[in-house]
Amino acid sequence: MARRKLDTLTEPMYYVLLALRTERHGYGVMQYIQALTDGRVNVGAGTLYALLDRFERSGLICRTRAEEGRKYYRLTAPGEEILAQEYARIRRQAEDMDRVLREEEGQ
Amino acid sequence: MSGAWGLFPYETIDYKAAQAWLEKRGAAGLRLNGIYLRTLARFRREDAPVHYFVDVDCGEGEDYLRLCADAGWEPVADVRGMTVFVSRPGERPVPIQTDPAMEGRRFLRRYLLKNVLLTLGLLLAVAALAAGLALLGPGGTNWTELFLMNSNLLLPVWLLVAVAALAWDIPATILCWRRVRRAAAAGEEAPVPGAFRSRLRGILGLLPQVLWLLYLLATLVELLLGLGGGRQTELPEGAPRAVYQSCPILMPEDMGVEPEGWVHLRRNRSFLVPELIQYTELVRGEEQTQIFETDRYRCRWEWTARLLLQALRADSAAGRSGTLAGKLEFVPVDMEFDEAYATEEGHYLLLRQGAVVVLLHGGDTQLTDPGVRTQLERVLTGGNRG
Repeated sequence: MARRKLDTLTEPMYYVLLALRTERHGYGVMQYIQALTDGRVNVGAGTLYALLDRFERSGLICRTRAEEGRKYYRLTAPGEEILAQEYARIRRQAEDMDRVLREEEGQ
Repeated sequence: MSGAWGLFPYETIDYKAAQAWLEKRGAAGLRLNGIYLRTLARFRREDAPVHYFVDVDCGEGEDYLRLCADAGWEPVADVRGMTVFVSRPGERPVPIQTDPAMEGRRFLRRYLLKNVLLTLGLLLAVAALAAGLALLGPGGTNWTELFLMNSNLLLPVWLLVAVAALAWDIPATILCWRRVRRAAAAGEEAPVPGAFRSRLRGILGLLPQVLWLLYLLATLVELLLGLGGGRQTELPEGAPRAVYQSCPILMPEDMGVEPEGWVHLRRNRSFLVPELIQYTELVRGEEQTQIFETDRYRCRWEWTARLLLQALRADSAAGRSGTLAGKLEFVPVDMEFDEAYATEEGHYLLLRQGAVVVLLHGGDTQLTDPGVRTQLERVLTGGNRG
């Protein structure tokens, strides 16, 4: 079900799932993505909140605890699977691009 | 620390225009303190620019606000389904919504759908109210009263503005729906509505509420303090009969009946009816009590008198005219006045000559009788007794 709804992950979705390979709270996810991408990808608080809610309802992440008013989340096994599939898709895209560039250089 | 005030009339449909308006002030270092009376924005001046984000229907709760606060956004005002967030001076946090498609879908689902349902509900409520008023009997609207209290002058203005606001709101909502849906499908930001149009729409949307409050306030003042029109004066008990006789009313002596018993006369005035005389006298007859009544309305304009006469007819038919007889059905009669109506037995008359309307009851007298005409002319023209 989750896979059907989330066939292709948008860039913010991908990075949110990636950030939650380690347990984090919402703001921690925002900071991690910003640092990982050198500020190229920014996820706003409202967008992140909606994504966390959606991922949780789809079973891709789960809430682990709440501390000082902050909720902590972590990727679930189906979430890991979706992330791995997306990673494979992105790698295939990159490999295809590499092949095309090599062919063009060889001509 | 200096500050500034500003008018914040924006409807939720124009939340992006509201944000653009706030951002201009933020660039000048004006930080919103709060929005008072749902329209007046109070700013204080900061040493560095601030940024704003307006979020729609932000009802997610504490953890959402906590996340926004962690990200550098402090909520400062909640108005008409919009939550206004402000940044710390000199900081530029990541906007709260960074996915235009998600933001657009959220706006469609949370606000526009609700607004469409609300508008439809409002239309149904207005239709039900109108049908209810039309169907109500003696307990319904007293149309004559609308002419006698100055505060009632606000009612047609309120109705006009409310209809105009609704007439604008419906197509604007449909157009906004299409615009946002198209942008969300393309993953783009919906275009920001024009500043002037958004402010005008907001003001037009607020006007009915302001007018309604003014109406309630004016009515209260008028009823409690007798200010602003609708003032009443009553003749003191035991006033000399000559005082009554100096008034343009139909009295027992005019019809050859000996006056005796209880008499009451009061004057009222309002903007539309500068002079109203309401006279009632009970006369002991041979078999039963006779009632003499005159309600004489001198209106400001002839067209007002025409409308008032129709209001009196409607109220009389529904038993709301204030006469002691209950329901009265007036039918047109030919008496060579501008307008003339009488009840079936001719004991009650409703006449208009120019800007004067009179509702008459002369005991058991046939008021349609040609012999009474001179008295009727005197009452209508306000002439002296011969």
